[in-house]
Amino acid sequence: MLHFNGRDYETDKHEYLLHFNEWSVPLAEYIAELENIEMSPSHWEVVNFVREFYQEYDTSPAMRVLVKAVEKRLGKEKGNSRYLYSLFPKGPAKQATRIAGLPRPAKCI
Amino acid sequence: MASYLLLVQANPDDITTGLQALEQAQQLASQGETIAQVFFYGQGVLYANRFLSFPSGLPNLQAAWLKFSQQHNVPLVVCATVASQYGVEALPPPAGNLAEGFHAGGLTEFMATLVSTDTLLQYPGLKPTATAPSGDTISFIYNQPPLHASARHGLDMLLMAVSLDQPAAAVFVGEGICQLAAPKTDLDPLKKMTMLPDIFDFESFYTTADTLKQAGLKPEQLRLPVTILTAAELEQLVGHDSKHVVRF
Repeated sequence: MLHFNGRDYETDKHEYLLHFNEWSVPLAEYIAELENIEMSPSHWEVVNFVREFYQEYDTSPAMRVLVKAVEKRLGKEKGNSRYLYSLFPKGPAKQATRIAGLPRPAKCI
Repeated sequence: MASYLLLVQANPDDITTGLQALEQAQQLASQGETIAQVFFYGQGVLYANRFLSFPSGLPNLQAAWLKFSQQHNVPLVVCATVASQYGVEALPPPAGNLAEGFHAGGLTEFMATLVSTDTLLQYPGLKPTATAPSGDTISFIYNQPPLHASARHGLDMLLMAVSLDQPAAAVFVGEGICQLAAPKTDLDPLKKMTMLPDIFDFESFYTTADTLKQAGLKPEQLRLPVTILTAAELEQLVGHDSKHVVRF
């Protein structure tokens, strides 16, 4: 459960939002704060990208898929783990999907 | 000496298939063959539940696998993601209910082992073909309807293979071809399949004219670009050009 602005948001046991549609920009900024991340335009680019990815493919991208997908859509200089880790040091797939209000990516994929 | 990888997808209550896998493993080990890994996937993940018990009069296959693993130094790897879908939290107690001797892993480990292994044995499955395949492709054959668990797990394995840049082919036969048709309900667990051509430029989807005819489908009704093979071409792909064939 996340508490933000006087409201409760249901989450899974890893604190990922259960309801994609309850997501909002201020909530994302709050989750980013919990992850010790200050959102910059570069962060937003990735977070918005994974939201679009989820809407298109119905799945939360794990690292390998995220790198490839970012490379394909946003270019090679962004589709690599060094760049993505510089934005999300504790794991780009894990952190970007949490901030984006997506389910936690599958461990095994 | 050859190396083997066993893929167990039968649930533990399926004693016939379970025994078949175990006895095959024991036989291979006694012949001095190398078993690189036993991977528990699909309903097979239930083998890793520490609360599992077997009815009296039947062998305790979980204990037997553990013993086999210790005797021959063979890792028992369970797919953690599928395990959680079957109520097995793949952590040792008290945090989870992973049975002793099982290692929580994933398709990454499976695929890494598969590419360096000579023979894949799948349970339940057909006996491996007698011809020695010479290619490096891993062929995935799908013949289950779209919502079938096996279809989902098989797709995840294909996604993993492709994301690891492994040469792969996806063959849809029987009802499996319906996985590529527009879904009949709101549920579409295979929507993510479209990322294969979009993101990975993967277009090695195959079927046969007979399959389409029997399903009453036309190629233009399919969501992905599918190449139609003749029976001979299919045989060439599966029997000769594939290093491994995995059936779902």
